[in-house]
Parts: sequence; structure tokens; C-alpha cells
Amino acid sequence: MPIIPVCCRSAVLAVLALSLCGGLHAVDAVPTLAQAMSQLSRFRFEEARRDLALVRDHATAGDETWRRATYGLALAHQHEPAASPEMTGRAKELHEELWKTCPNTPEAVHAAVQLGRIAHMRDYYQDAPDLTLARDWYSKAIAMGGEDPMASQAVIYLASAWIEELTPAGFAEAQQLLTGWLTAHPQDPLASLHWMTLADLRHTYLDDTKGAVEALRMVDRLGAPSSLRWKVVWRMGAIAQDELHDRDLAVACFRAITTRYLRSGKADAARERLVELGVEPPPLPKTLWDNLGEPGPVEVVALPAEAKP
Amino acid sequence: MSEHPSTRRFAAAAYVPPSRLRRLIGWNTLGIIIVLVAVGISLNNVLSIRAQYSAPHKRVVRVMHWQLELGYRDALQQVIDSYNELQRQRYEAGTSKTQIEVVQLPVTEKVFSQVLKVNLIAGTAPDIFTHLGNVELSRDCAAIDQYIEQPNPYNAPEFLAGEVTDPALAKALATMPWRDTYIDSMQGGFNRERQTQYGIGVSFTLGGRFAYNLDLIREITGAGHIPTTTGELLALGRKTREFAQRSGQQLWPIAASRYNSGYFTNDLASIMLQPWRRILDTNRDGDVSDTEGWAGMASGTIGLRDPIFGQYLDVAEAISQQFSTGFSSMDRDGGMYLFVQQKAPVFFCASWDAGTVIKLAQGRFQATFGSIPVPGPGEPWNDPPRQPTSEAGIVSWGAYHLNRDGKVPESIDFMRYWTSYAVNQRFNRAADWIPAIIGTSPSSEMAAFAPRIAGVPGAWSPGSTGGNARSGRTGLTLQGQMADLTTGEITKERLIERSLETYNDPNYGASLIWSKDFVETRNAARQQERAVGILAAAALAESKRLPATVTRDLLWGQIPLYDGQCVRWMHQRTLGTSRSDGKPAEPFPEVDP
Repeated sequence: MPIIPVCCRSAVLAVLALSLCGGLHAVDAVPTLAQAMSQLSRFRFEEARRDLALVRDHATAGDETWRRATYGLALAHQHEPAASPEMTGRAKELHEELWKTCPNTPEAVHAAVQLGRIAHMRDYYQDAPDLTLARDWYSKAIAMGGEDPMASQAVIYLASAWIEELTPAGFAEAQQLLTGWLTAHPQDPLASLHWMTLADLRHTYLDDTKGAVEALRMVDRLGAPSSLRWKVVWRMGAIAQDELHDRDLAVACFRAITTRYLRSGKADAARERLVELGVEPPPLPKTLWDNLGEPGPVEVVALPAEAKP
Repeated sequence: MSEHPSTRRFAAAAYVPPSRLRRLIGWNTLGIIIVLVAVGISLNNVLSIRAQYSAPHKRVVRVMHWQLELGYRDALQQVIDSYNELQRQRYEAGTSKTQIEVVQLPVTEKVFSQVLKVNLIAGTAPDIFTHLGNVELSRDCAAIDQYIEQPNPYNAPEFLAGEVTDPALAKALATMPWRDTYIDSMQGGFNRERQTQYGIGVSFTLGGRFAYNLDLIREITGAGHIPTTTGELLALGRKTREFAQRSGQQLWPIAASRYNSGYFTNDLASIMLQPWRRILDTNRDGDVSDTEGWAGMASGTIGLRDPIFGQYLDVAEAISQQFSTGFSSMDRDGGMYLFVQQKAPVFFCASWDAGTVIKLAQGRFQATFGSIPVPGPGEPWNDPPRQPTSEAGIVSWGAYHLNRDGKVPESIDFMRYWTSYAVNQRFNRAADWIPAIIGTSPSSEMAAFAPRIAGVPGAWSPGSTGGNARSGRTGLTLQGQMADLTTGEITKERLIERSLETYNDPNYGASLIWSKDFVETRNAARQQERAVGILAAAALAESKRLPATVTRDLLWGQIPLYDGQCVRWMHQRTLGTSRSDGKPAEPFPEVDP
């Protein structure tokens, strides 16, 4: 059998096969939306932009896949660590396209909030925040969002955009906005965050200690991040003792710190506070595990008059 | 006539035909044989490892860490051996279809980062690893939130029999979520910015202790108790010098190195500056932020000429005068070896070095540990009184992470085993580290390292912020000057003068702290925005909403930063238009637009 022609034929066939495979490989398979979004979840921004652009290009403009791919693609530009005016500009274009083409969809509400965030925050060197524009977008998101949780989130962003003006008028607007929202939405899943923002606004920016403590009590009832909850109770107690002179509340808070918030590392400091308040402090537990589970809200018990100094 | 010697030599050098055996096995053949033997041994090794690990039913899990301190690797190997044996039994009994086999890969910290990074990029990273913060958590590490809410199966009653004395604890351990079995509720592995659990701690680490050579102390003082106050520690130092002079021995009061002297001055600051805590905590949340601390400096509430700071410098200087000669040029091991060679009765020792100290002291002398002594009643620097710092808020450090592309369920199983009550206690006692699980206790030698519930929170110190960008050049200057004070190169007065020179510099001083603090706070807010946006988008893509508690927790730390404006507001209240001391308002030191 002639060896050389056989080898030649094989080589030609192999080259053909390789070219075919290479050719097939060169045509990018369109990833699914889930695959493309997983790149974004893994903070692989370049890959996310490539995949989400493919998904978007192959979807029908305006349908659910297109909306979600567009939104993801906008975020992949917005949050690129090597931020630049071009990246932010492209993110804005995509969000605005979503807002214009698909009004009254959840993605449009999200896009409006993100347009607010882009205007609100400093995204790249020499980017100038525009608080007025940010408030405008947040207001649009709230108006369109209805009961969407994103609308509730936009209320907090809107309040913070007012607070950041650092003017009495801005503080007043923020307070009015938050109290109004909480009155209308007492069961809002983010209510404790609204109350916490209100408490911080009143204490730090408005010197309204009484109002701040009222708001902190609401936070204590509604919940806070578990590792930071002791801070709410401590703050309530410290304001009550040092500024409001509400001894009953201060005692209740510091007792709770001593007995229920051992992991705060403030148990002994709370015991010192109780001594200052004329109350016998409870002894320190021997171990950090008390088998009592998550602490409940602070319960204020009126101390007998004779016990008060 | 005798034969000439040169002729004999010539005759000896004459060609002698090689023996039959030498002809059979020439040098070339020998070389080939050696190569063949070497290849054979290597092949045997490769094949036996392959047979051991790549059987179809075997799932090999690799654990990479840098903990090369004495005892840690051996203790981990004991855990691995018992786990592998359990897995083998389960497989052979037919209760498990696969057999997990764990191997450890200890790598020195000098190259750890590079080894891990290269393998992560190449897709060959180990399944479980510690890291030095240079890993992109979302990209490289598996999120394990779903696992930590389930009970740890290795805390089931059959694993706790004879291990737990408290029946209530035994009952709770068996049913409570894995997260709640931790003293720190697994906070050491929780990423607040992403609101995601990535890490699994196995031990706690603590500083703030002194190691003592009780035999040497007995020889020096005639009594065998360790100092409990600053005055007693200094008295021991004085007696040590007198004893050294009397006996002609080369002894120092405290064995030290440049590695632990920095830890010491920071730990001392958190005790001695305690009286500042309450007056600096203006938002009354129980902690002092850098903004609050530096605002206190700006307003004059605290200062470097404050008697409280003076007492801190006094104690730091008095104790550092007891340090071994040339400590500032000694590395971490140098100070420790002085101590174990009995050249000093005292050594400032963190928990991660304690195991090595215990093991090296075995058979030589009795080693024990105690907290940093605080000034006692009647001693100088005790007005106002100071207390040890509380360690109840401790979180585990150096948590293990799981490779996102590795064998996650198998890795989780091993980590559950390692962090079960009985195994975690056994491991940490063997390694002389501090266990992380509720109800456990360290080895008797490490009892002094059990986290302290009593005591007050550590204080904010302007000199402890040298590595923090917010403190600008002032923090760095203070940190450097503290190092010079401990070596005796400068006096306290000179330290204060130099630090104030920097602080009062119009370009690099207080104004730079304000502007840096503003920029850092603004950047922190922007950084957190990434996770808030992307997590919500990922949920939306699956027609879901991010749980309200996750959104709340993500925004909890971000909103009060107000894009850096909280720093401007603090400046306005302290030095600006809202200042209350009647002085003219100062404008905020602006930075780049």
C-alpha cells in the first residue's frame, strides 16, 4: 500500500475536520439568561457583558428575557471596577432604553432606581453627583413601583438624597418623606430600615433625642441585622441616660445588654451604667451560650419611685 | 639495580582489560539502570497514589493552609485520619456510595498567596483553602448560606456521647443550625458587603497575653506567681535585672521582637485609653469610629497632651524598657527562642504562637499565660481605673473557604466534621488553639486564652490607625514614633512634639484626615452599591425578589454613610458653621472634584 498518498489523504481529512470543529467553535453559542446572569453574580464583568449582550441580541425587544438581559447588561457596565465615563454612559443608555420601552414592568422600576443611583453616587474620577436628578429618578420609581419592594428602597434613597444636602430644609423633607411612607405602609418589609434612617436623622442631624428614641424603639421591635442589634439597644439606652434622662428606659436597655447581648462585649460596660443609674447590676454569665435564642424587644418596666435616686 | 619509580608508575598505568562483570555492566548501562530504577519508583508512587485516590468511588478533597506553627498540622492530620476512617467504614458498610478522602497541603505564608492565586486561575485550586484577602469571593468561593441553616450532622447524639456534660447543650447542638453552634454565629466567615456566608472558621485567635516561665520566676523572686498588675510586672523586671547581675547570667525581663512589640503597644492602647471611649462616642452606638475619634482630636475633647494619653505613653515606655536588647531587629521567632531558651521569664505572646511555646517548653520549664496586666489600685496610672478588655465579641479569623469550582458538598461534609463539638474541641486542644464552638474549652495550658466575657470594650487610639488610610500622615507618624519610643530612641515629649507637628501641618495634618475620611467613606458607600445592585438583579432574573432582610442588612451599613456627607456634617458640627465653641467657622478641606 502506498504510504505517502494515504498519509496525505489522512492529513487532508484531519485538517478538514479540525477546520470544521474550529469553525463550529468560532460561532459563539448563545448562553441562556441564567448562564449569563451567573457571570454577573460571580462579578466576572467582562464575561457578563459578552454573554448578556448575546442573550439580548437574540431576544425579542421588550420581552421578559430581553428586559432582564438589558438590565443585567446595564449593571455589568455600571459596576465595572475599572469605572469610566464611557462605562457609566453605556449603563445609563441601557437603563433609559428599558425605562422608555418597557414602562410599568419591574425591570423599568429597577432601571429608574439605578438611574437615580448613577446620578447620586460618584462612579468614576471627576464624576459629579447630581442630587436633584437622583431625586427625580427615585420619585419616578416610587410613582411607578406601587407595591414593588424596589419602591420602598427608593424611598430610603430619596430620603438620603435630601439628607445629603445637609440643610434644615433637606432634613425636613427627608423626615416628612419617611414618616409619611411609614404611616401609609406600616407593614413594609423594609420598615425597620426606614425607622433606623429616621432615628439617625433625628439624633445626628436634627438633635431630636426624643424622636430618635421613639424611632429606635420601633427598630428594636421590627428587627435589625442580628449582629448589630445590640447597637440599637445600646444607643437607645445611652441616649436615654445621657441626653433624655429617661432612667426607666436606660435601665431596661442596659439590663438587656448585660443579660441578652453578651456577644456585644459591652456587658460589663452596661453593668457600670446600671450602677451609675442606681440599680444593682445582674451578675455576668459564665459562658457566652445562654440557650435563650434571639432576644426579644426591650421591655420598659417603671421603677418604683423610691428606687429612683 | 633497582627499578626506577617512574617506570613503576608507567607500568601501573598500563591498560588493564576490564573484568567480565565490568564489561557486562558498563558506565552507560549503570546509568540506564539508575534511570530505570528511578522511573520505576516514580511510576510506583504515581500508580499507588492513583490507586489510592482515583478509584471511581473515591472523592479526594484537598485542604490548603499556611498554619505551620508547631502542632497545627499534626492536629489537623488527626482530624483528617479519623474522618477518612469514618468515610471508609461508611463506604464499606454500604451506607455511602462514595468515599471522601481528605488530604492537607500546608504551604508557607511566604508563597501561599501566589500558589493559591495561580491555581485558582488555572482551575487547579484545592477544594478548601484559607486566604489572605486577595481572593475575589464572588468569583472564587462558594456561597454556603444554604448549608449553615441546617444542623451539623456530626453533632448528632452518637457523636456527642461522653463528650458533652450539659444535657441541654447536647440536645441543642443536635438540632440547632450549624451557624448557631458557633460562639460567633459564624460571623468570622460572613461577608457583610455581600451579605453572604463564604467562610467557615475553626478556631479563634487572641492577642493580649504574656507567657511566663514559672520556674525562672521562682528562681528570681522566690515565689511562683505571675504578675497581675503593671506594678508587679515592672517589679519582676527590676528583680530579673538584679538577679542577672548577681548570678552573672544573661537575662532580660521580657523577651521581645519587632513582630510582637507593635501588637503590644496597640493592645496596651486599647486598655490605657479606655476613659476616652464614652466622650468620643457622639452618636452613642457603643463604638468609636475613626470619624468620631479624629473629630474629638479636632474639637480638643481629647489630645496628645491629655493626661490619659500621657499615662499610656508612660506605661508603654516603662514596659518596653524591660524588652530584650536589640528586639527591634529580631523577627517573630527570635523573641520566642529567647524565651524558650530561658533568657527571659516573660514573653508577649498571641494565641497562634502559644502552642509553639507550650511544645518547646515541654520538659524544660513550666510555661503559663496571663492577660496584659493593668495598673492596680494604688499604682501610678490607675486614675481613672482601667480594666482588661472584653473579648466576648470575638470573631474567628482565617476562616476556610470552599473553591466554587471544587467538590463543594464533600468539602462541606468535612468542614462539618471538623467543626462539630467533639472534633473541634479535640483538634484545638491538640493544636493548642482556641475552639470556636459553644460549650467547648481549650487545653488546660491554653485556659488563659479563653475569650474573656468580663471587661470593657477596647479603646480607639490615634496611634493604632497607622495602616488606615483615613488617618493620613498623622496616624503613620504616631505609629512610627511609638516604635521609636519603645526602642528608647526618643522621649515621650519628643513623640508628642513630632506627632503634633504633623497633625498641625496645613497640608498633611488634620485637614488631610478630614478629606481622606470623606473620600474613604464615599468609596465605601460606592463599593457596597455593587453587591446591592447585582444581588437584586440576580433575584429579578429568576422572577424573585431579594429577601427583605437581605436588602435591609445590605443597606444598613451603607445608608448612614450618606455618600461621605456624614463626615462633612461632623466637620460642620466640630469646626464649621455649626461649631459650638464660638470660634470662626472653617471650610471643609476640599479634595479632587
